[in-house]
Amino acid sequence: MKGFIERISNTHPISENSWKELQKLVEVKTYPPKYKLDEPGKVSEKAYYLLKGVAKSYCTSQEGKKINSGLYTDNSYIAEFTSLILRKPPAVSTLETITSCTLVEANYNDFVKLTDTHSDLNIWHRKNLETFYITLQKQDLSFANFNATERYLNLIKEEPKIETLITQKNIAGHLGISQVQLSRIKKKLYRS
Amino acid sequence: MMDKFKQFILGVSPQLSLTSLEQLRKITVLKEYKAKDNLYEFGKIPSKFYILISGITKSYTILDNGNEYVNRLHNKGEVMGPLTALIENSEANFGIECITDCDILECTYQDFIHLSESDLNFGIFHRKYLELIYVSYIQRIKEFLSLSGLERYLKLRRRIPGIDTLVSQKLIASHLAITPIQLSRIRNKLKPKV
Repeated sequence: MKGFIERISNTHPISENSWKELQKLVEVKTYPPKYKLDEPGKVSEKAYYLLKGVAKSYCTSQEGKKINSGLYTDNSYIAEFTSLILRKPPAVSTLETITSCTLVEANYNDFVKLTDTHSDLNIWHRKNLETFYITLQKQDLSFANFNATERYLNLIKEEPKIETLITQKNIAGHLGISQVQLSRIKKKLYRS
Repeated sequence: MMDKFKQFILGVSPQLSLTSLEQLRKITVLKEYKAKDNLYEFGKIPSKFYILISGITKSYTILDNGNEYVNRLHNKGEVMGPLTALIENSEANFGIECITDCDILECTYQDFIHLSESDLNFGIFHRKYLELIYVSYIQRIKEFLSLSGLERYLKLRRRIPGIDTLVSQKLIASHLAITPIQLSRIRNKLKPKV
């Protein structure tokens, strides 16, 4: 829980009373590797804060190909937000643990109701949403602006330990390239 | 004109009171722009966001290779602005240019933040709005990952009917992240066969 508390006070400090109310809603749980937190066809109800572990989100294309759309490590918020917000089951997205994951979880509806009645929680949540938006915009620009080698180098810079945490297949999926392409990129980098 | 404003705001947050709506109206100014006008200077720290009342605009950036990348074509009723730069108080890495003549409501971002943090009604409106744009952004990214150029083109035509007559093919291609040649092939395929 320490990581979560620190993250809150770094974003927007909340009152003791609000923290008490928030604590009533959240629960800490540990899930095994390859556990599907959210999947197509099921309406998502929970939002998570990843305390420890690695998780990913991916879309499944019409041909059944899995394409990673997010990779998450310690101390990140994860959720199938589209489903939570629109209250519809995700059409193509799955949220899945890669390693064993310890998460703080809360029912998103209850959480939003609480933020709608407490000004400090509302501001905290708004700032989180702003951060999520900025991350998305950077991801969008990164796909438009950088080639696969540059995206790989950016990933290593942001998550230095990623190579030891997850498989090459997952890294390739996250970069939107095949495993063969990833291995070629690494060979080239290693040579020079 | 103002009814469109009310319609948009209440569409996001129906329970916003008339008093709150009046407060918001007080901090917005309606302006007319001509086609090709830029709303603010690219590369400078921006201070405003905008609501498009009528017309079409594009939100664009210039990539490292010099190509233009259109990340959004805006239709009436949409909020526009360099949100990342406004939040981080940094230089705008996206510009907004009017494609047609436009009527646009302008609002100083800090005035809005002040309202949002001092009045929970606005805080809720703000939260809902951010949720909506987050979802629409995620959908765009997922479309890139899972839909073909043809499917993305059809979706765009559904969102902005008549888009083909409003903006150039080059611009549409850039927005769909395909080449103008690919777009032309797609359009040929869609033409009814004689």
